[in-house]
Amino acid sequence: MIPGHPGPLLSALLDGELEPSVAARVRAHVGACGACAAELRAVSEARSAVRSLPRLDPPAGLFRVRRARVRAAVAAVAASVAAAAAVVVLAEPHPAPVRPKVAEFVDAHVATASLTGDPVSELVRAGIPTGTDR
Amino acid sequence: MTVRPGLAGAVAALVATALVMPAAAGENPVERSRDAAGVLDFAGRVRVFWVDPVGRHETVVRVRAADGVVVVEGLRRIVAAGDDRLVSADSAGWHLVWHADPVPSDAPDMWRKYRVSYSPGPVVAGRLTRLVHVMSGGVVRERLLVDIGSGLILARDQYDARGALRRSVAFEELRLVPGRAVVPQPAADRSPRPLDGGVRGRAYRAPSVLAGGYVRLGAYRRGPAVQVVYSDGVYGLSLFEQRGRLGEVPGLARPVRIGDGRGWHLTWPGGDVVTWQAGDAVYTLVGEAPPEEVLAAARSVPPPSRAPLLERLRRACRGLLDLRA
Repeated sequence: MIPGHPGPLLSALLDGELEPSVAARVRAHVGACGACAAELRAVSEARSAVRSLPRLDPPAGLFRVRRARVRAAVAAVAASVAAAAAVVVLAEPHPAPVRPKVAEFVDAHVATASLTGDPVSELVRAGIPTGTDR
Repeated sequence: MTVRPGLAGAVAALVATALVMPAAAGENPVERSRDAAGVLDFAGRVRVFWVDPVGRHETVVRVRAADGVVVVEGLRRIVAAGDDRLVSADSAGWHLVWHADPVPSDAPDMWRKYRVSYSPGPVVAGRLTRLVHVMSGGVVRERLLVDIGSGLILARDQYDARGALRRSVAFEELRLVPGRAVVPQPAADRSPRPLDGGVRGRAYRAPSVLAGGYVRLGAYRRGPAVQVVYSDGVYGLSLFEQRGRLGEVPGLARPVRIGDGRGWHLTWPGGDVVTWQAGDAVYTLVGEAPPEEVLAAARSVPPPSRAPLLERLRRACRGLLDLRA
């Protein structure tokens, strides 16, 4: 805005938003200033041009699609939260795989069986490899 | 000398009655043989026979004993010195698999389940024997040939429920001669650590009794596994319990039904092994009992109950923390 000229007040004048005393001073200035009179005409013409544009309706289903997307997103988040909660609350950690060491178990068993049973007949059988995991 | 037929008949009847009547309490032939092996010096060869799904097998193992130490020399070597047990199977040297400290409690009285009868036996390895039939449910489970002079069991035949011979060990040579035994120095200590039998917070779920009258004698920690030892007075069972899921199945194993799931059964020269998954644990049952008894005992292990919600939450949180770590 050039100092001393109303500038943005011209648009407010057209919209009727100025106090009566201020509006009177702006009108007085426009009546005496050719540049401001020309700017006031240009602003007035631009407003008329914008207001003369046709009204357009949004495409059919625009809001329905958006609502569906929002609902789907909410449902996905809720399902994720529920699944995570179920995993934490209900599931147990997957146990590590175990391969029973059968030969060692047989040795351990023979040792105890020879303590509580007949040592010779128990121990001679352990003199033969089990053939499982040696 | 002439003997009156009536008197001879009476004497024969008395002898026969003494031989076939059930043994009195305290005359457990297995216990007597164990005591004899602990004090006698001897050396011999033992023929070992067993049947598995592949076929019939036979091999010979050398045995000697001196100063209370029994040494078995087959494809593997085993030493029993007092209550210690050592095994040598490869170049890694001797492994101590049992140390004297955690001895299982006494086996239950065998007469609860078995009936025993005696009769004259054949000569085995040049020695006179007494034939002992060990019966359960009217079926002969074992046939023992006991050295009349020493009390050692010289032959032992085991039968399945159909009466078919499954396993046999028999001295084919035995010399009661003085000897000398050296206990090897173990290169590794794999002996177990005894566990408290208390229920609360204990490290295993194995029950106190298994089907067939097998009573728990003790529980021991062996690395990641717990060995729970059972006996019915004649046979022993070891139930190994470890946390995890059954990964690779042992070689030569055959599928069997255990509860609602599948287990695996295999035969070794001295007995049977069943392994299966139950909840978050893997069980392996080893025993020299008849195979159908080993399977019945495995099936009697109760499945683990589902953990309470808070316990599952605690485990899940710990699992997530472990994953992050």
